[in-house]
Amino acid sequence: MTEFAVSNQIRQHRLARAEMTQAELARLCGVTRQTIIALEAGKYSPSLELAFKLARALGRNLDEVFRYEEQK
Amino acid sequence: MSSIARWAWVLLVLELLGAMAGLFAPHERVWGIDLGATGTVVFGFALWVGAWLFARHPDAIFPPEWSIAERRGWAGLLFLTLVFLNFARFMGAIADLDIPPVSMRELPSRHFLSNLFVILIAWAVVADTLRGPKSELVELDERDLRMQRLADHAGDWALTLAVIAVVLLLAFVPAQRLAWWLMPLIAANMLIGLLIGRSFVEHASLVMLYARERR
Repeated sequence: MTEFAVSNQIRQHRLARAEMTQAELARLCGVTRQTIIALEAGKYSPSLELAFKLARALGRNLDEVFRYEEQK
Repeated sequence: MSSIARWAWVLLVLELLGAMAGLFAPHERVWGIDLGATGTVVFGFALWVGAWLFARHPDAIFPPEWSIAERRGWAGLLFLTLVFLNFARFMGAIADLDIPPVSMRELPSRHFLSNLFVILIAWAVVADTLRGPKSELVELDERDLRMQRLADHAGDWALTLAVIAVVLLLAFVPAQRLAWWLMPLIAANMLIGLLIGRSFVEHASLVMLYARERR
């Protein structure tokens, strides 16, 4: 059976947004900086609510930030 | 490793040595020195200096990927170990009594309660210090709460298994072999021990879950 996983482009969009810091993004989304670190490293899949908050803070649509892809 | 982190490790080792001396040193003086009292003073001194050092350089001591909840988890594990050691020493002291205690006044608890008081106060101070700068508003988020929930489950499982083990002991071991353990005051203290064990498993699971997520 093919396995799927959530991947994200948070780091790329954050850096494209005037080099927003992890702390700033964390503050905008109401999470700790360590959660942003875990998300960018692909170690944590956020709740739907946090995913929307992240996309909004980065000024992108949800599907531009998160992908549900086949695992390599 | 930065020099501040090295100092933090030295202070942690001093705290542990001081705590061990405070908990386990003999009552008799060694070369005129009361090792227990000296250990308690060393523990307190290293703890306050460590708290001050952390307040000034929070990110130099812990890795940046460790959230406040994870830092508190490690502190909790450390202090619960001390609580557990103090409890084990207390139970050892009860076992050494010639006549098993039948009332609270007969328990050799004064020394152990004062140790427990020092440990709990120190834990509260460290947990508060680990909160970090007041400007950092978010202390717990959904990831931390998820970890906390999983660790809670691990603690509940451990407690359930321990209760099943006690039930099996009571069912299958002859009553005369359990006579000492079944005296009301001993049994009451063992129940406290189960709760300490549950909390220990919970904290150990918490720090393991954070470490596993990073791998």
